[in-house]
Amino acid sequence: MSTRSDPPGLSRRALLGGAVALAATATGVLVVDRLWQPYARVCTLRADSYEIDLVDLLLRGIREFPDTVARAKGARVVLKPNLVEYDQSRPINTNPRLVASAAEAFRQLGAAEVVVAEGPGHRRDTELLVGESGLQDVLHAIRAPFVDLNADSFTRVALSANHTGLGTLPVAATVLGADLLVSVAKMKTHHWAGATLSMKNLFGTVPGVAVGWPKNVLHWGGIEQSIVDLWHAVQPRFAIIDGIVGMEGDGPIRGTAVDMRTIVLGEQCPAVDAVAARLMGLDPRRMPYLAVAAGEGGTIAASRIEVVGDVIAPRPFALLEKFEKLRAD
Amino acid sequence: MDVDVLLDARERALAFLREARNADGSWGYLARGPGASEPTLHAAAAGAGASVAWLGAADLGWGRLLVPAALARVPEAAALREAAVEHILGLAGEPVEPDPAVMGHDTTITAWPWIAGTAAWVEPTAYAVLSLRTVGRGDHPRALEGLRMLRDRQCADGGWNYGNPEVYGEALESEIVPTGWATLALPGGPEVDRALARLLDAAAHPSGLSLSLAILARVAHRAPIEALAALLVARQDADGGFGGRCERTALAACALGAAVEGTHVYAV
Repeated sequence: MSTRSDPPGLSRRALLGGAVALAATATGVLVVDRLWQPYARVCTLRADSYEIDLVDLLLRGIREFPDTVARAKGARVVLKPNLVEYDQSRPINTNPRLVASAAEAFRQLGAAEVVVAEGPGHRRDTELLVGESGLQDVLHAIRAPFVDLNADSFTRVALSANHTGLGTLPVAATVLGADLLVSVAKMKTHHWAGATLSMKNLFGTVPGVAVGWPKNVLHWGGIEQSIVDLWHAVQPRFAIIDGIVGMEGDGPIRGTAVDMRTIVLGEQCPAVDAVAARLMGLDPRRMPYLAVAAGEGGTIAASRIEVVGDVIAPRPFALLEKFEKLRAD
Repeated sequence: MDVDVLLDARERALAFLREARNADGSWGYLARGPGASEPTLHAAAAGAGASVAWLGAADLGWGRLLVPAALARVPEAAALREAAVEHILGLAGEPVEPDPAVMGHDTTITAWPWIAGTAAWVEPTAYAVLSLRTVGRGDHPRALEGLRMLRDRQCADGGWNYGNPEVYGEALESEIVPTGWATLALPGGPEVDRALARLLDAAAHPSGLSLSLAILARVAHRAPIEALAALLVARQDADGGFGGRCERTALAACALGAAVEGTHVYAV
């Protein structure tokens, strides 16, 4: 998944270091446009609410990816949702019904085991968060276990790209032991990163017992750099983005709801994030972590992504002023 | 609440911890899981036993900030406590360039980070200050710096969260767990009065961990614990543990003991 494919005429070194500063510029866009990127497929699905048959809808989407269907059989599937706060009046977390539906979908595809796992970034009390968010009730109903990644044992994974300069990052054992790791993210803006999608969602795989609350080492190493390093280290094989109700404005917590009615799925996180970003009215080539990922095995070019499923019209998300530069023209 | 009920619950929690202990004397987050500093230190504080040998050899990470406080009643841990104090005095967070439009607090106070080379946050600072006060170094300039940081990071609702009381002009909510630790670290004053009131919210949004920290902090400041102890007992599992987690069970054991005795290891 994260094989490097240096395009002719451009070295990967051109993307290191300066990528973050370069990405949101016109020059950065030109650089990204010249990168060779592998073909990728992403599925977009219309979902009018969380009350519809989400299991059936997700199965329809996952079946667009025969490799994933095959991989799920007999697999230990780990679903990693985005669980941040318990203010149920705001669309902060991956909706519990969608998480439970994803678990059921993978069970129907023959998974041997489905586990839901998350390491919330700054809330210390995971028990309270899982309960108050509503996730505990839905998982209890379907008898799916929850693993608190913040208290998990961990391995310090060597960072192949090492954009952060940290050398290694601690990654939860539950995540590393998955046959199929699925990033089940929320479609939101983010007041430090611009947007938080399937790749930023991977921050929760770094245990708090190793790095604290918040996971400041990831910010100190550079948020954009940490997103790419973690993507390489954790190697999720599938991504689902809950955009049925997304968040715009001052995300990922204090923003406002967007009735997007969309689920985005795919096997390659950068491609999934790129499609989601375009639906949010952003240009993924201007998003630094995606620009870097495009030079390291990821696909963000629209011309290299086959979008299947339902046709979804973009709906520009409101952004903090400093992220207006990420907007698509 | 009936004292016998509290003592029984405490004994059941300690029995869980005895069963959950590893052969090397440590505790993991889960019963017989890989040894980790946080559950091992809280288990020592609860009186379940302290493996000084394991604590001396292991990489305790940020848990080292808690060593002087958690092992205050372990005579054989004197050398460990001394070494931890030196570590605490030598560790500081990285200052961050102030940007009042973004952060509502003073980002130049270095205080204590979770990991060296990163910024200061509430819980590690609370651990460090609590430890320094425990060993009688509460008037050390670093301890005073930590207290200044905690006061600066208090949220508008009277508690503390991880360490950002206000971001982009919006006041953020506090959380019971860091509020509990910050309140334990502070000697008293109006900020503590506000925090003690905030801690009562643990009753409306209970968990084993939040109730334990609320009880510990209120007992430390001689505030009544109302119905918090009864709520904590009600959340105990049949096996005596709290959610199968050793650190939560150890803190619950501390809190249940505090509810009876009116004091505990973390009360300075």
